[in-house]
Amino acid sequence: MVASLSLRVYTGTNAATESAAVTGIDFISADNATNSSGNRTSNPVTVGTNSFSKHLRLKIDTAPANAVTNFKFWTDGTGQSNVALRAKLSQGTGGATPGTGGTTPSATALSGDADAYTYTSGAKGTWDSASYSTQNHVTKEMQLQLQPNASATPGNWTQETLNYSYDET
Amino acid sequence: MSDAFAYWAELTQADGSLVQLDLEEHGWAEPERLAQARAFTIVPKDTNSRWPFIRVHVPEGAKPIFKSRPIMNLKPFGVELFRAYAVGWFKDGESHWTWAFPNGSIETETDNPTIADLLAKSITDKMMADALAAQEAAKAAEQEEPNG
Repeated sequence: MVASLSLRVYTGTNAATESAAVTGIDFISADNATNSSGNRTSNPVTVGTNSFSKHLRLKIDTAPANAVTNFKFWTDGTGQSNVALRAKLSQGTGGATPGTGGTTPSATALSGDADAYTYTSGAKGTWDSASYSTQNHVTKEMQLQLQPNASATPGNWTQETLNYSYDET
Repeated sequence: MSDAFAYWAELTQADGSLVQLDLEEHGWAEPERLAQARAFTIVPKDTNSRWPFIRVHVPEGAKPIFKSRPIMNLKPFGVELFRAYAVGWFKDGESHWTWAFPNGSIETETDNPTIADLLAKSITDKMMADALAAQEAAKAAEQEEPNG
């Protein structure tokens, strides 16, 4: 079978509550997995504060013929002025859902993180280098957080391009 | 045979015989037949598509290898942009890949093909332009509506 992987958001204590499959994420002032205009309107991020960290894993919904591995993440390399996007890759442990070693999402600035815009097509970040072959197993966690500083222009965040890939054998 | 992959595959064995492979099925990489392979061919299932036909010659003592790589957009669209395919051989701790892309391009001897990045950017840029045009068209249509 060709593998089917879905993106999941992990919320709550130790980011142990797994969402249904999502196709998008919101950077907001709340810990939820909703992706909608209403969610963003109801939970805006005030300039000078951080969004709640978004904790993401990929879940194997259909097992591959052999394995999936080499999970990479990258951006278009540039962001909106005064709005940082921070990333922390390869967190916790993958395996049986919901994985282990997750940290509770919060609006406190991530530590041990990196400027997400340094991960580009020419310098992709490693989300997870482990190999998975079992249905319902998940990858390690990737954390993302929006950090608009006090000089950021209020309004919608400019949509930036975030991509990921994996290898299937 | 499922049609999820764009390719089916064929091994040419040392004795000249051909073995068809379903790359989507567990066990396609059966060690004995791989050990005897002298060429690894991937053939597009849709011969009218732009997917390239690729045949890689496998040196004696090398193992044929295959993988595919979905390139996914997380933001702003949350969709699979395309899937690239790589075929090659492994020997003495080194993999030698030949990549195939949906626009007909081929790139060799890398595990981080440049064409994948260019193609992902091109597809995303077009999707963004289309989304913007749709938004502007909707706005224009709203403005043209007569006041009641």
